[in-house]
Amino acid sequence: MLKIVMFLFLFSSISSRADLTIYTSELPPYVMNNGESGIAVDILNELFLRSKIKAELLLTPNARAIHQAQISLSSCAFPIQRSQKRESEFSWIGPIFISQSAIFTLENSKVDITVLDDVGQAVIGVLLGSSDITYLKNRGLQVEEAHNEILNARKLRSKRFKYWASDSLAAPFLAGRTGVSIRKKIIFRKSLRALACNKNLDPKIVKVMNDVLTRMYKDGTIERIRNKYLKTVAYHSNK
Amino acid sequence: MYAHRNLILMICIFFMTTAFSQSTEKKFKKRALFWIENEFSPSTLSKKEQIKELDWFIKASRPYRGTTIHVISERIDTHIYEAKVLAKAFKEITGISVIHETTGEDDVVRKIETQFKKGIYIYDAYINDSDLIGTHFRSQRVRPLSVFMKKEGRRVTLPTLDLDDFIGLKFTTGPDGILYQLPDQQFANLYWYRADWFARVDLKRKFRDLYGYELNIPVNWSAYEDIAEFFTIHVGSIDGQQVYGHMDYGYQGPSLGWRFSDAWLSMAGAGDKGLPNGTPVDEWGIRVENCRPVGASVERGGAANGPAAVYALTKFIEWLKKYAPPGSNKLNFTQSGALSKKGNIAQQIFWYTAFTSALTQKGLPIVYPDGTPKWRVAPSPHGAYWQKGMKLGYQDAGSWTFLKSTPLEKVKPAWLYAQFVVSKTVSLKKTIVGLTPIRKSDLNSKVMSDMSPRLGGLVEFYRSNARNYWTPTGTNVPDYPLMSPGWWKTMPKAITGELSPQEAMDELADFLDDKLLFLEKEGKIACAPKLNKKRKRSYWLYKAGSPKARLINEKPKGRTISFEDAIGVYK
Repeated sequence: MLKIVMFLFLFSSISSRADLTIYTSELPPYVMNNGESGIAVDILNELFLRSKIKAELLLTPNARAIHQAQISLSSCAFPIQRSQKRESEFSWIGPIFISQSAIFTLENSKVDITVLDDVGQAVIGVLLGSSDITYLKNRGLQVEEAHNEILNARKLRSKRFKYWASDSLAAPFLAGRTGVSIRKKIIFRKSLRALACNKNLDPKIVKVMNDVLTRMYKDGTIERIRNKYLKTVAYHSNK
Repeated sequence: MYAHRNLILMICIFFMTTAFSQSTEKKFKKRALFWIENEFSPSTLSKKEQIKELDWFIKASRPYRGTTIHVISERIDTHIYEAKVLAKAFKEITGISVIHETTGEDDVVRKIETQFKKGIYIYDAYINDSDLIGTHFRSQRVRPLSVFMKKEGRRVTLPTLDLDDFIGLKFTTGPDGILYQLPDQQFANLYWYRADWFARVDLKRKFRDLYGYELNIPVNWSAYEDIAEFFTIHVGSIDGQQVYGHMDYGYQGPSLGWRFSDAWLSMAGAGDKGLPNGTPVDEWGIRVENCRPVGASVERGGAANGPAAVYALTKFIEWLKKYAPPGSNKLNFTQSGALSKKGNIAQQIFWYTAFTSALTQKGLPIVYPDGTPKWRVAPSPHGAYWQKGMKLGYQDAGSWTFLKSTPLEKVKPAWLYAQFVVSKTVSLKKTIVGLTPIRKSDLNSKVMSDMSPRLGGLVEFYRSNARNYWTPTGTNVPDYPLMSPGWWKTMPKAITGELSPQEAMDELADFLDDKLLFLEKEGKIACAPKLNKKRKRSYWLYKAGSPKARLINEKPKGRTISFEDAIGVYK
């Protein structure tokens, strides 16, 4: 487990023990280079700076990140898809960004998808812990879960399944790393990606950070950070 | 010579484009006919009228062909049908692609809140419950449909939309008389019971011997409670199966909040008289004076922590613990709905008719081999504080909502899709699939009459005036996304015993007052709250209307009536 101390600001009016531990996993272009850069990392960086809150970032698999945020106070998982099912399980700070989930196939696949349900009963590969699993199952579709997305990309390449459901920006990065050529067939869902913090986290911290985040949306900070990464994203998406 | 050649080239291009356009148009018309013949039947329109209506969609959608729109709705059968079938048909008929997301209702609320509070453009349209009408008319962040249809949306507004045919427009119209949302589906929460068990002579006799009146549809909560006790305690098992006189759910989450905020306090009788919502105090216990919310706590003239509200919560907990199947407190709305299929529940006081389709499937233990259900729905019983003229239940009106922060050029194709899925060409078939009627023409059709015996009283309810007594959250709630979490965050504390019912309702009233105060200080919305000063509870409790003083007897004698009489009240 890689540990990176991100910020060392203390918000004295909240509490001297206001440290947060953020559990996350590599998800380019949101979290990249072992958590040192990425759209989401830069947004968080600015958010903590402005909120004057000390935080540390730990890289860990998605499902474990969620578990940690559930069991330890002052912990958050990130970036988590906020959903009704999870609503009461966490204190939410977000959205840090809006993501889009899409269905991918191999580059040369000829299948035509007008609506999500055209996938039929074919198996869809999904990341363990992703709320896309519940979403797809609720639509009556079949899923196969994997511990990481690289594994899903490999399974797609070896035709273990025909479809891969993943983040529309992250999948091209991850497929590129494994040398798999993929094609986006349909975007099927948008998600509010947020910090899912322990539900007993001090409500003052939650409020301060949500207020700062709203200001960051309104003053254009979020858009500026996103735009900084757009060129890289476009490059990978077009590959 | 050169100019001459260019002219010929331009003429050729013109003819080629025209030919291509005509062939595209032909393709769309062919697909429209295919869908009419293979899916959109029956319809309240003739085939000729359907073709004419779809022709209009083909023409109106020309500027938007090739575009993709994103819409979001709650996950119920009706919307799944739209997402799977109608979105596909719309693409083939108009060339506009639709990503129709179906998700938890709370997701829809959080996303619409994010778009209008953080200013992030997320969706082109929302199918948003009309419970947010108080939010929408105040925030002015929603495109007012009645204005849009006459102005910028005139050319994309269906001439045969026939607004007068919709049964739920009063739920989606603000106090300013402006239509903000267009209903897409409606369902109510009704009383659900096993008509076959209620008709059994042995059970009827046993009930009469024990309680002194007929086993039939309960008019009041006293009778509901007696029947719950009767089946769980005195009957115990039927045909070797353990049975229960009550079903509910108690898992902490947004759906538990709706179980209360939708109508529970109004059913108990906490609010004032008035339809669709009590005036000046509504079913959330919020008092409004001159369009401004002035408080939810009794101390400020509200009723959220008044005796009727405490009675409502007390009964909810008592019945859940005494009469519902073990483990019900761990279930959510969806899980609870599914459990009724098992065939061991005798009655349910708060049953969403969105489950009708799921509970009429052949082969279920609650459906006869000929497809008719062993169960029925009827108007819900009311609590001790309820008086005639008050709201008696909840009706969900999932409605098309367009935000001003969505670009106009995306709103227009989304508005076309919205009208397509509620058009008369499509509407009756959609009603048959999802059983969430929105049009009088569908409800009064022969098809619905023919289906009626298989729907357990749903058609009778919707054809009666009762549908006007089952209403959504109204305009007293100034910011639904901000205030609604208060319900699911506080009610569980009483269910687990951490707080008494009075303490939990006090906490809820404080939560609601705090949010009203926040909105008052923020001062950003029209008809913003202006809180009353706190006074002694007795000041308000002994005035006429809500909040009401505690009744000496909260359990009057139980009263039951026949199904025909129950519906007849609302003729």
